[in-house]
Amino acid sequence: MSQKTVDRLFLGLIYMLVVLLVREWLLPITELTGTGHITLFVIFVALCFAFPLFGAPWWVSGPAKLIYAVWFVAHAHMDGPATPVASVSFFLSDLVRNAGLLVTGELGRITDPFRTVLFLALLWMASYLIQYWINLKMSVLIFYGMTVIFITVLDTFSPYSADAAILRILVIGFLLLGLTFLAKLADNQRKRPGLPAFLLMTIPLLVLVTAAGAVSQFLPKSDPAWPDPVPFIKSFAEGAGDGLGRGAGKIGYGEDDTMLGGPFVGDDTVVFEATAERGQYWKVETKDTYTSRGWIHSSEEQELLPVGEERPIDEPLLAGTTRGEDTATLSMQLDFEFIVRPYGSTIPEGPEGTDFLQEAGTGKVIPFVNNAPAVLDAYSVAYEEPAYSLTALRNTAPDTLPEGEFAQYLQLPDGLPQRVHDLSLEITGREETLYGKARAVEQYFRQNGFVYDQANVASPGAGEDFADHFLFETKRGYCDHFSTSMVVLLRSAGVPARWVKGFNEGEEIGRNDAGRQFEVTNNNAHSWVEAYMPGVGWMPFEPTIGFDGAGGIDYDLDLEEMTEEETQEMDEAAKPEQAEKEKTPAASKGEGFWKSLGGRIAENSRAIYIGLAVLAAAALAAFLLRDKWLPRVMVARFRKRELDREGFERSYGRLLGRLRRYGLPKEDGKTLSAYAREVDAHFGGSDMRRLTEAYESVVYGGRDTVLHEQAVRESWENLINRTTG
Amino acid sequence: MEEHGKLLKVIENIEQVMIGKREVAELSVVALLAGGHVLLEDVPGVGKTMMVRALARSVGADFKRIQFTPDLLPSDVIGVSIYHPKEMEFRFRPGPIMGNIVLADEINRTSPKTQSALLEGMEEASVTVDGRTLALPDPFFVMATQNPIEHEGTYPLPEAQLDRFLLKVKMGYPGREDEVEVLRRAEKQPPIERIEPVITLDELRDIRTRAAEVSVDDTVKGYIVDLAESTRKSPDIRLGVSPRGSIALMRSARALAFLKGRDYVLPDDVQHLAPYVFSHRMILQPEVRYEGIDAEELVERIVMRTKVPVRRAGTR
Repeated sequence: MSQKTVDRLFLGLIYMLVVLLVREWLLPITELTGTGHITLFVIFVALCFAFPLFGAPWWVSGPAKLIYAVWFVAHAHMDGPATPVASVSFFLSDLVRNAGLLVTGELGRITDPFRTVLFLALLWMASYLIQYWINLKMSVLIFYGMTVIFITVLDTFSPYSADAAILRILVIGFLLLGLTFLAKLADNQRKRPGLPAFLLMTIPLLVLVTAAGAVSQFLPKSDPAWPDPVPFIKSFAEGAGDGLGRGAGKIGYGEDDTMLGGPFVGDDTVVFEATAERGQYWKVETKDTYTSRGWIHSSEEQELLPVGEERPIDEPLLAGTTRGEDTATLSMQLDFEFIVRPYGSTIPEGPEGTDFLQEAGTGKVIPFVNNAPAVLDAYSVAYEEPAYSLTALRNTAPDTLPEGEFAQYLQLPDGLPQRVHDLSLEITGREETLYGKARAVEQYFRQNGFVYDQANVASPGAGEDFADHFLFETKRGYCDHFSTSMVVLLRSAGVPARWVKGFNEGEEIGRNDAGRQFEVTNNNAHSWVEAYMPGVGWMPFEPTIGFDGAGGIDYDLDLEEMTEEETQEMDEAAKPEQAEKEKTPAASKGEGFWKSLGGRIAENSRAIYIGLAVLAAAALAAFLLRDKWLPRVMVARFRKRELDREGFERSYGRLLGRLRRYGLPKEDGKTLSAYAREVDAHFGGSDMRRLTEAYESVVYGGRDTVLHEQAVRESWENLINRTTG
Repeated sequence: MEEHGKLLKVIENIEQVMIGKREVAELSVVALLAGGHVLLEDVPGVGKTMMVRALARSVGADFKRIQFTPDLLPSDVIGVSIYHPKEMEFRFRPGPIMGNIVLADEINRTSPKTQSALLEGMEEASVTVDGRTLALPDPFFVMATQNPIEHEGTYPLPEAQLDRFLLKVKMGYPGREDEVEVLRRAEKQPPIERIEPVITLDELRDIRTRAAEVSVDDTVKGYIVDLAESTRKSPDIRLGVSPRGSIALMRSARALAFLKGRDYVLPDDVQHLAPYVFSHRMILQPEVRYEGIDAEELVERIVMRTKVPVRRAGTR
């Protein structure tokens, strides 16, 4: 077999793979746009590659392609039999009609046959371009890269599923890269490889890539850390997102809690601004039924009860005091058909004609205008922040719990693994009161290696229990994980508990006469726990690491009765409260700043990571492309530099560094003049010798000035500029 | 530089009789300028005598030749006092060492005693006869030849004495083209007769002083020391180059720089001369010698590996 045939065979193989790669472009286009006849398009592309491969002159290949195009258009779009004459006349009349449309700019009315023609022309140009790359540079990397980007973008943003396409592209692409690399190697040899050598090079490559692709299919794959970036990008693009409806992986307040888990994307869209005397948790509703995967409420139909003077939103505490009355004023940025409220809420107040009704089960308060649920832009809620009586809490022995009343808050799914019960017993077994048990569970998460993380959170597999998965498998998650697990543990220990949804206090953004102003964003969406303490009422607990609890304690113990341990405990617990009272505004602001900074960093970790990644990518790109810009910077600096001995030494050193980067390193044992000859031999000219001679007279000859400074400067710049290329 | 041109002319003269051996000619002039002596290691008949005579004629110097034989006595080299019957006294008859340029042929054929008579003269630039010290003429330049050690009936020069020579040069056979040219010229009048003196001895002395003024920057001195140091550290070398060797390298590098028309020494000069200066001042490990690696090759390897300073000493 002649050398020419072998070369052609090799090129033919490469072209074949390229055609397959082009097919990967056509597949999603036909699928997404409803274009038909993919096989015919692929054949056309194959023709575009085949003609040059067999050395057909343009006057053969051109008409052949044209005939094919005419036949294609007629076959695809013409009714009736596609006789040659009919086809051509159809083609021509269509062409004339659309040429007119093109001239008048009525692009919308262009007919399908003409679109086909344009598309074929595009394919023809694309294949010409690819051939040009291959023939001239033996490089398909650009085309391959574009293919990968095209397919991945389509996979991400369009309904097209590229699972199989990715694998095909992988195999085709690596084969192509490998073959073109071989071709490049062969080009450098004087004797081109014959058929046996060609086979010897190609077959192992084929086997290797195919095997790697096949094996990759069977390897276990970890779930993507960021399954779907689209909502995130959308929220960036649209500014304030809709907030309602927890989109895939986006943080925010949502109604549907049946499937908890999965990673989150931060979102600092503002939900509302609140003015109140204290920062506090904003409650929306509670849920009582745990399904192993999430939360629902036991009764689908909620009884609606009016709230107002006669019936405050939150029942008054059975034991304990309050921290004084206050009214929180809220200004909503997102449309919620419910209100958010502090603990101890009494009476809400909206615009004229607003009635507030509360769902009996969930506690959600819904504003009604004209007997229909309404969205309020602004409202206020009067509240008295509760302080729970420690004395009463210490008397919450399990037997004080009224029997039967709290069945729905002790519910647990049947399939809950035994080890959860065991763990619950282990944590709470030694505590005698319900309060002690609740605190023990709350503390458990802080001491046993649990990690707060929104991003790297695995979802439980099918059939696994959400809380069990978190407690024993991952120990990594966010508020939903901690709060759900705590409720499960409490219920297992016989403490009535429910799951609470709302927002945490948000970020303090200022202060006015009415109180402190807080900005609450989607990032502040939160969940926590309420447990029922007999003789006290429902009391919030905060198991999530990094959040400090809702619910203050009234230390109303009789001090003489207290043990030393208890006093200590009380002191510790009381400290933050005291500190808060004593704080000057400035200090509180400062502390608030750091606290909110820490909070912001935690909440916006995704954005920060992305920012850092972008910065790192930019730095990396700048570093990788330094050959392009660094010499220019160096020349600019060199022009300003005085060419005394020190300056000359530095500049010459820089040049040596650049030349090393360029691929002309100076060997240690080589003298400068020998090196200069080598460099000049590479670039042509005598710049390096001229420069080096001047440099030698400075370094070895002990001169302090540079002779022929202008010439030396020119030589230096010439050389530096050459290292750019 | 006028002197520089004249020196080049000297080299050209030598080249006329020694075709294709510019390197050797250059090295000889370097040694002459540096006030050192040359040891030529080679087989007989490659034109060593011719070269030395050409050099002597070019500088208008007095040329002497000593053919060393096993029975040669020290007095045959230095000279001897002979009783003069008429004047009733001993008169000193100077030996062949009393010349400006001395060719000491086959120095390793004679006994160590006679060898050392010559070598001492070279070192001291004077000889002692009958208690009187006689200064040798200035300039005094010895070019000694020795047969390759392996030849029969030779007394190898002791290592300690070898470093009396500034350079050790191997001449080798001429290339094919060059040898054809040698034959062509041998048909005509011997070229040596046509060589005219280029400089006088006085001029030569003057040039030597000027050559000694060529500056050697500390950077280059450091480089020389690095090279010497490397020979001491090399596992292939049992005894490395002494500080005297470093000094010799510096001196000869000065002369080469001057010959090239420069008033400062470059690392290039040092690199070029290092094999000639160092190779006879080291003792190789026996196993290296068995492998057939010679000292010149080792020095070249060391030169390749030692970092050439590219910044002035003291600046970083």
